[in-house]
Amino acid sequence: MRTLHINGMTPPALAIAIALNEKGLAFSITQIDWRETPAAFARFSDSPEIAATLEGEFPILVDGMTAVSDSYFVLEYLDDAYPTPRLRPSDAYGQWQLQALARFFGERALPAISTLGVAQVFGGGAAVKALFENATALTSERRDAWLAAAEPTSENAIEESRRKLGLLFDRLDAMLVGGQPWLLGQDYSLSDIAAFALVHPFLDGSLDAEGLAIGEALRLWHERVLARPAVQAALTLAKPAFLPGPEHARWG
Amino acid sequence: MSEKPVLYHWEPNANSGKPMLALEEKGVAYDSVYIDMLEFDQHRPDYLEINPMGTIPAMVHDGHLLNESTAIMEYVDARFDGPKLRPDDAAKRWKMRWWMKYCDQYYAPSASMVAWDMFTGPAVRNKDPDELRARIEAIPLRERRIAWTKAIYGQFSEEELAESRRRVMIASALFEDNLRENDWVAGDQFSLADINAFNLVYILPHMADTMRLPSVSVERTPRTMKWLQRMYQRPSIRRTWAHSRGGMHIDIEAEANREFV
Repeated sequence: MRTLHINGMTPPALAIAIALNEKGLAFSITQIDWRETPAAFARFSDSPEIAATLEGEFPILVDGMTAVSDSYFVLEYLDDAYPTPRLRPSDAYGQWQLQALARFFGERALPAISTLGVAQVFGGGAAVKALFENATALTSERRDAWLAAAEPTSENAIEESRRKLGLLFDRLDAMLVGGQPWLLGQDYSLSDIAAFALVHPFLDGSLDAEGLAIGEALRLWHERVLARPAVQAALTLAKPAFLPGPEHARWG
Repeated sequence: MSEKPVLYHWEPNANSGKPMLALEEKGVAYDSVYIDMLEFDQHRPDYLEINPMGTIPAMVHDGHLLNESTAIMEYVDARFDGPKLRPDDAAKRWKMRWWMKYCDQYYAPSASMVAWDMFTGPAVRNKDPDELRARIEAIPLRERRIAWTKAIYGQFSEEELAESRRRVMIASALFEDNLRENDWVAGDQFSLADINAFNLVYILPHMADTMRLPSVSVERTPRTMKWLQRMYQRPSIRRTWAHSRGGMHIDIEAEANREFV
């Protein structure tokens, strides 16, 4: 029995759903309305790691007796637990490339997408305050992230988020301009899956891409990933969603 | 066999200590190049030629440049023969990675903000102001430029510092709780998560007074103190700390033989 618990198809949820499909692993989806997050999340509090999440309450994958969160680590968990088809390079350097890139995705790009998504799409409004103010199942940082979503997003935060996404698009485009089909070279990998979940919202119109330069090589790569049956199937599972995500690094 | 890795590092703690300790635990000989962070050696042109990001640590091996200390540790374990430093079980490996991220993005940045404000900033602040300005301008990564500016000029706000202290207290309590059932961070097996955490946690009991941060102590976190002792008993610590130029000012022998009442 394998269940992916999601608050709509957020970028982290999309990455996990794609990886499960690529592996051919059957799973069911449990949809949790964002308003039900505190109560639904409390049911996972016996895992101290899940309870202290830095990325966000959901998605959580329950795989038999194991519950895992934090989307990039869920992708690596899946490749560790179900090695075929392999979604990571077999050599140590390739694996290092994946992880160094994942750190950038998680620490820079994901907070930026969450900021823009909350500003442009989420629309929780004043209701957020009443629902999350006393949500003791959440850490104080996560409560603050939700409460901040009840307020208008500052111009500074939007500008900073656009800057970070500009870095992401430039970095991805630079990896592809040599003509290689996938980010790490000739083989499709977890990097493509994780990056696709971050780039797709700006190309399917879910988020406003205005002012962001998306290079030709990056667009062509996006089409290649989009054409994969595993990706198509994942996109039909739930509507795109954007919720308060990981905080921006406090050092700048 | 492959060529020896070259590791560019500062003092054997924090991020630099992670790959150093991983290489020692793995039994891999490496060429050590000491980069003096307090002299801003990591932003000098000759180092930027090797690592354009201007960050330490960095490792060169098989013609590749590797940065990001935690990812380098995984590389070391995957690339070289020697004792396994990651659990085979997928769920335990997930747990190991979760804790490394928690240290890298929550626990360590909070502790180091307090430490930079109290020690690192003042340590470099007395240099010539023009020289300092030039050194800051030479930092390639915007994030690091902001961090150094704040540390050097003491610009961390009271709120930021108070929040960092609060986070160190929370993280040290969670870390203590995690050792309730197991000797090591990711379970019953020593792993990269222990190396990662050690480079951050070892200093906290010694700085409880000077940083006014009573987070790790025999009274508050006895399991963490015993875990620290298990760490100090590993020969890798002694070999790694031999690379220190500043003196780590901690008696390994005493820590390894500490008696708990």
